[in-house]
Amino acid sequence: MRTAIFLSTVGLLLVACDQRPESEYYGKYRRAELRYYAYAPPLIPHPVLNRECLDCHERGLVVQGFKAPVTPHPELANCEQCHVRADERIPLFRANRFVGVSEPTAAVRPQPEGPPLIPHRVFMREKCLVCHADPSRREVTQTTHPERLNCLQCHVEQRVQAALFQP
Amino acid sequence: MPISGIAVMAAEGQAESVKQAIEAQPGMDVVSQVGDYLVVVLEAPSPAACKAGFERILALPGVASAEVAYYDEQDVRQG
Amino acid sequence: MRFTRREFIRHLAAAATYASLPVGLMDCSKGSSAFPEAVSLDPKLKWDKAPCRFCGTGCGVMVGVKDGKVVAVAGDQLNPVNKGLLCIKGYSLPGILYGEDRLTRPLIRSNGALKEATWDEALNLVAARFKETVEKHGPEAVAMYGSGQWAISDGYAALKWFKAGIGSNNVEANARLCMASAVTGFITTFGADEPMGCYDDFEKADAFVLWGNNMAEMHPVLFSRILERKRTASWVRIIDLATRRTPTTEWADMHLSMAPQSDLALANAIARFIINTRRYDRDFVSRHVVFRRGKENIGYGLEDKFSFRDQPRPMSFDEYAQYVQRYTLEYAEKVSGIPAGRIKQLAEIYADKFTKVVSLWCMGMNQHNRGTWINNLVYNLHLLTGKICKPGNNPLSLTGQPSACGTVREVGTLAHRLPADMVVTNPEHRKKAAEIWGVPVERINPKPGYNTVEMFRALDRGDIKAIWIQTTNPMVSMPNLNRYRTGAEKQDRFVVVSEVYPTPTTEVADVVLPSAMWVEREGFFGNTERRTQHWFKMVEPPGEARPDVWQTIQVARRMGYADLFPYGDETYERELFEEYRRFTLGTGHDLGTYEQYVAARGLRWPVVNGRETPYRYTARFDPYVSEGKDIEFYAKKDTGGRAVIWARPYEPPPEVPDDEYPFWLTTGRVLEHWHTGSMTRRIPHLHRAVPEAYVEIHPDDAAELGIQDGETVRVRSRRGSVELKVVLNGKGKPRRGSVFVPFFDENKLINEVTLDSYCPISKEPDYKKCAVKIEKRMAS
Repeated sequence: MRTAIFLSTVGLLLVACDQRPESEYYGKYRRAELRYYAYAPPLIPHPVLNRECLDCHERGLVVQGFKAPVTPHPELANCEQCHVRADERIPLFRANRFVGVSEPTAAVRPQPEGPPLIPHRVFMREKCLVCHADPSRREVTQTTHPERLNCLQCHVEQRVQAALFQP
Repeated sequence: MPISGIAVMAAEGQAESVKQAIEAQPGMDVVSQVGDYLVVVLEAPSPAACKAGFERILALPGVASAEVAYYDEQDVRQG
Repeated sequence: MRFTRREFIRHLAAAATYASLPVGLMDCSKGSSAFPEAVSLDPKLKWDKAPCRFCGTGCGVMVGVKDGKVVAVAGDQLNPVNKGLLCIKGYSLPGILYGEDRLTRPLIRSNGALKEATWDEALNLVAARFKETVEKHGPEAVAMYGSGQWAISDGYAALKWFKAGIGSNNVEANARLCMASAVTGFITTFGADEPMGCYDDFEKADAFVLWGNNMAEMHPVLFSRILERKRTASWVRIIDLATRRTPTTEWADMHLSMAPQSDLALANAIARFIINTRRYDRDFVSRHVVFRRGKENIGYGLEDKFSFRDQPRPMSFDEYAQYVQRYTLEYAEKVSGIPAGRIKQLAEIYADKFTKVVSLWCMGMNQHNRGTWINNLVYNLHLLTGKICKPGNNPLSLTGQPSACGTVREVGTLAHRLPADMVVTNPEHRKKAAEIWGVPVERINPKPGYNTVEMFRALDRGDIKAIWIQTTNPMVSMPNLNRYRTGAEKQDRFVVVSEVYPTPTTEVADVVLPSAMWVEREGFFGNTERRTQHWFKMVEPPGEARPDVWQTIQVARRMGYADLFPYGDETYERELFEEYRRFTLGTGHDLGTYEQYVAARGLRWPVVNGRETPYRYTARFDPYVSEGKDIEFYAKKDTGGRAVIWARPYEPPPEVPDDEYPFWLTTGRVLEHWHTGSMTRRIPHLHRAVPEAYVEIHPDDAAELGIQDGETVRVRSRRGSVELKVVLNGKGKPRRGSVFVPFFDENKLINEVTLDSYCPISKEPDYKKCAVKIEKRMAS
């Protein structure tokens, strides 16, 4: 117990000096590192200096040469409902053994020359191009034909189990 | 020329024979198979022929169900 | 590669067909490998529906299970509550099962330390001690303290064991600390518990009035529905009536910063404004409403064995109109600190015939020493204007816990209740319960048991000798905690705790039983809008952990009540539900069949002829409304189906800031943590987001005291103190003269500071108001 109190005090000291230069945060994290599991929303990898998230994340403001990832759902205004800032330097309260499902690594093509299916859920990610036509999203497949715009015309959602996504 | 995508479910253990029966039909290709499910692409000279093709699949022995998942005719005429 | 047009269409056809394969209809239960790698993201990953484990919103989640472990959740797009959306707590659900220190074996305390034991040893010990206590000290010397996080079967089994078996009414639940004022508000005004409206109102209202309710953090998914409504309908207004600026305030069109307790004066002032400007709905009032005045100056429940009984007296409309005349806008301004003109703007929203209003509240109005009154007073506004029982026009009391409604309120795990809104004091109700339970009616004790605060006071005094605590953490959540912890630790008290993790409550336990939770078992929850939802067991619980309901049944059987629990080991969930359902049929609380809930994304009761009821008391939706009536409050039998407008005064709280303790203290929750944090603090990112409790102070107050942001201070009341770090411009900012502290942190127990006063009618403690001082740490 005493150790826990001590550790959380150390944690707070760290938070208090969460004032590293922005280049310490931006673009430093792999996609999967920011997600609890494949379907979970990404954590916020930088200190929240103001709570106007969309100032940077609606259009993709460039800060110190790093482009802020654009949100695929700017219409959902209460960002902190799902995205929280969690400084990984704060010691845990108690250890946890959870291991989540990992992101799909490759998309399936029903036919060798056909368009690939979408290997993730489309819900809340309907604006495909904010991820798939953005070179700053290093780990995301980039489309060869962003000019087509209507992605869902050819690419359809691959479903694990119909009941999850459709009546 | 209309093109249609049809999801066919074969009765248990009959997927292979259904697949062969469909492949033997004019204008029909089994492009993929998942367990007892077959993905069929059907091309026919007219909408009526397309519908008839679909009904022929339904009538094949060993077919538990079939459903039209995709149908397109206008673009084909233009192209 | 170039496609011809024809090839392109062929690819489209194939892809669309491929994606349409109804793989979900395949039999997954055999663990079949029906999905080759090519078609599924992961063939071993299976999905099934469940309600979220956390708050009373009742979001639907799809739970992804792989190799016997929960590995993901996704918002359930088919669930009408959340339509696919979740909050960060919901997304974090899988982690709550896998904290490294999960309790997996029964523990028995010997020589001061908890030691592992077998289930037989633990269950026999609990049964023997309860039996011995009942024989020596009577049935009122034992108690069960449960939770609004109990599944319906947990609560029902506990209730049946105590009320039909032991003959004791000492069954309570932590919902007493959270929803009791809402219950008494509903019962006194409408004669039956739970809302007439539902979440559908969020897409229909023109104005949302939040009475002390930080929805953006506490019910974020519902708040997102309001924000979506506002985004698509420009005229929609959100009014934030609060003692603190919160994230909710950022989206409010009007923020009214009110002094604690002044809501009583404000509601009365609005009622007066509506009457004096003659904009009440004469027709509605004359047909559907009566007026009553109850006792006043009713005390605060601070003394042991406090008791109170209201004595309603009828009054006329004119007398009521006269009664509220002292609540002028100026009077309300004086009490609340809100300028009269602003109060008038708020009153206009209620008064305007063409504005559809939904009033929302949660702990701000319920954890209130006049909680029943303020619930009554807000209903008054809707009843005066007829803005009730109509889509888009309703008061909606939000619940905090996932089954505070489904289990505690509907099953009735409270000291005076029986299932389906029945009470132990009513001989007819006892008769009906005894019939369903197959016991002689004398077995059911007609005397209500101890309410929660009194229960822990009785434990301290020694009137209760043995208590079983399930699914809740009172050694963090009880107000004036020092007294109740001392009580629980006394020598001859026997404390059993069913838990999933070690907590301050297991620290005072003599026996700790490891519980299975959420999808480690089958269950039902009932949410705010009367929606009952079912889920199946999806993974095995860790070690020897077992559901609370199983534990209760085992002990009851070992005490000699096997005849009351004749259920099968595999089928008890279903059998208990079907037995409980019999209480509800024909009462207006009708539940559907087990099969219906298995298939549906929840159903809102009453479920009659297989159909749910979105809006109650209105002929268009509710089959219980009599033929020929448009609206009927049929549950209020003593007034002939009319709702009651209560004349309730403003009265000050028991402890107000003075020279020695100059600040108001308000406690509450944060978005990232659930209640006492025993689950969410074990989720790495949630703990790291809010690692410890803190105190929010207004920057001007801090400047006066010479306190800096981040400094550690001591918050002290007459009962206790706690050291906390100061946050000046965080997510929340209290009004001047008040401070806010969240209660989730078991290492910084703010409830050692709070006051155990409660609403005399609902017996719900007021966690929102007591007097404290802020002490700077001495330089050392």
